[in-house]
Amino acid sequence: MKNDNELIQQFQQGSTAAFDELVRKYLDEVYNFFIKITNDPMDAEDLAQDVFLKLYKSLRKFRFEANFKTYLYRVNVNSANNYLGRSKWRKWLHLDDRPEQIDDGPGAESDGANKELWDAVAKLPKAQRIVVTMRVAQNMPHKDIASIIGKSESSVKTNYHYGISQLKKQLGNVK
Amino acid sequence: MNIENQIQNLISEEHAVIDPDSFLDRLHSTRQIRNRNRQRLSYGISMSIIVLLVGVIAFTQLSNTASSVQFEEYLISANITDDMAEEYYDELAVYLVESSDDIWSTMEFFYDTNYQTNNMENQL
Repeated sequence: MKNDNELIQQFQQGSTAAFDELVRKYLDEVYNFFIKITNDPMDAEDLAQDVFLKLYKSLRKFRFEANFKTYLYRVNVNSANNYLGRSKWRKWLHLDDRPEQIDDGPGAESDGANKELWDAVAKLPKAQRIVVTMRVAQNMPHKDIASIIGKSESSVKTNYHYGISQLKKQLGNVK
Repeated sequence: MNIENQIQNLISEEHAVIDPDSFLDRLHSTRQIRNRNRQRLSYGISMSIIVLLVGVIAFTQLSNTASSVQFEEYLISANITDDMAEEYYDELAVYLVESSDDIWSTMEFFYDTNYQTNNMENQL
């Protein structure tokens, strides 16, 4: 099986099949990252599609200075960040208000709690929001987050700690 | 539910699955649609620029030639003074009066052209 750099090189030489292979390799990871944030398969697929469309454009100029996986996580986090920013406005403008749920299945309660959590994450300052998103949605160790966002591990830990404290305050006030 | 538990639940949530083949189909069709839209947009913008340029060039050419050649400018460029022009009109008026069969229709013509008839009377 070819590694990421080989696939990217082939893609840069014009092979769309190499790009498809790269998509197949990382699709599950990207899709699951977004599904945890959006809690909606269609939104998650749209975001995943956006990520791979951006990659299709940017990988032609990829210079192999960074690890592809790191680069992919950065694109993921930027997209998640934009999504959370948009959702903050949507919530403020009441665009997400839906009629009462008719079907309250067994997962409805946890879905509601998750939505509340991500709405609270959207309100965090950017640095905390990025760290919390990567930690929660990607289950990523602090060290890896630090290398992706280019900060020290201690700064990541501090941001995570403050982020979680803020979330506790926000969600505590709601309930 | 406290926040740590909620985060733990979220982290350990079961894996969602997506069909890669249909995802790739949709990805490439979206990419092609976006490319087509981008091409249309750039084609539209370049055509608008061409039309605008042709319009500007045509306008400047017209204002430099036909539209700007005024009668007054012609007179100046031909070194014809006001006195010379007036003399010419008077002579033309005399000629028209003398050669016309019906003097009243000639007078009406002068009236229509706002010709100063007192000049003509002096001449006559």
